[in-house]
Amino acid sequence: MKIYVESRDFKKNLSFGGKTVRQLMKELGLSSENFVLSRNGEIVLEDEALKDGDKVKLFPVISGG
Amino acid sequence: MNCSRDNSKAVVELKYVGERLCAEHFSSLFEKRVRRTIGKAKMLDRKRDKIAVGVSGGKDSLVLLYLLKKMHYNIVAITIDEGIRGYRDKSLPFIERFCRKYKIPWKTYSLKKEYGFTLDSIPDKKLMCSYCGVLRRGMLNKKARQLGCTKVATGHNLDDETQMILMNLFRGELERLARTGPITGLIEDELFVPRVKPLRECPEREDVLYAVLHDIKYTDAECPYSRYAYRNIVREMLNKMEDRYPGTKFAILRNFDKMLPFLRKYYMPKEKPKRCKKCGEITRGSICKFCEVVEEFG
Repeated sequence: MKIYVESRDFKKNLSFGGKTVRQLMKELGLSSENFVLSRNGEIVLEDEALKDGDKVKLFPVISGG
Repeated sequence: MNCSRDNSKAVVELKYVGERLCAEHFSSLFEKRVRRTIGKAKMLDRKRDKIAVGVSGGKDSLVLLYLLKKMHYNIVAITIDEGIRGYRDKSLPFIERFCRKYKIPWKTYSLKKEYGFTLDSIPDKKLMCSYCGVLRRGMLNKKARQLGCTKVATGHNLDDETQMILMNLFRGELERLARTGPITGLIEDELFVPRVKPLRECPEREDVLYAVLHDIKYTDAECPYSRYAYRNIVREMLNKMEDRYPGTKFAILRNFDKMLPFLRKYYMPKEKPKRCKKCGEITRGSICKFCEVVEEFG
């Protein structure tokens, strides 16, 4: 399935073979602990299932100075 | 996964209490915690205090501003523009939009305009966080006082606080540690505006979540100098501990608060603060740290 992922440092469309947000984060090489996650504008936990065309946004926890 | 309290969709898992919460229950818990933090330490008084809120445009300071406004405190937002290109200039529009939306008075003061230099012009990047801290604290205190404010509130969160506690312990800075806590300093001096930290019991991750849930638009730009900070190593270590032993950060803060009266008894300077020979502000020596930095780089 195709997933659009957006964060502070990148925006990309990717082909994703997994099922959940947790697997997506693993594929991106990122830790869920460091982000608050939303799917199609709604905050989700990492066990949320994804479907084709979903937009995932990552809000970094660490920012500022 | 559903909320442990009402079975609606959960937005957060709070491992340290073994609960999953929906947006509504999370927001209610978060706000209750901030009210309790303010009340427990008698940080702020709605009738008597005019509060200068130090605002950087990041999630912590804007969440703090949002909450103090919601709780009907008398507030004015203050931003110190220390002149970090690609960081501070990006954050100013967020603060402006926020303050306009919520009708909060906002004052911004520039290091360049007042003292003729920017943080970017300081060559020693490794000590940048120390210089920046001295300059920002100094300007915030002075400007807050000139505006007639009786308290300065900052957006330090649980992660900031626990990192600061460990950093000072590791460095053996017990005197500095004794001056921290929910109300910083406690120097009784007409020139000193006491600083309070109403978010000190809010984990950084929850500040982000609260901001997103309440549509608080903040800048998530990282300060280019933060990579030099010793703090990053302590942060990483603390996050690993928290992941493995949930509740570690709260335990550090609570136990530190219990130790604080003893630290203050033995390590708080007994003598009254002096006046800086150059600027007349509070100092322990003859010239204050602020003037030392200005003299070196201004």
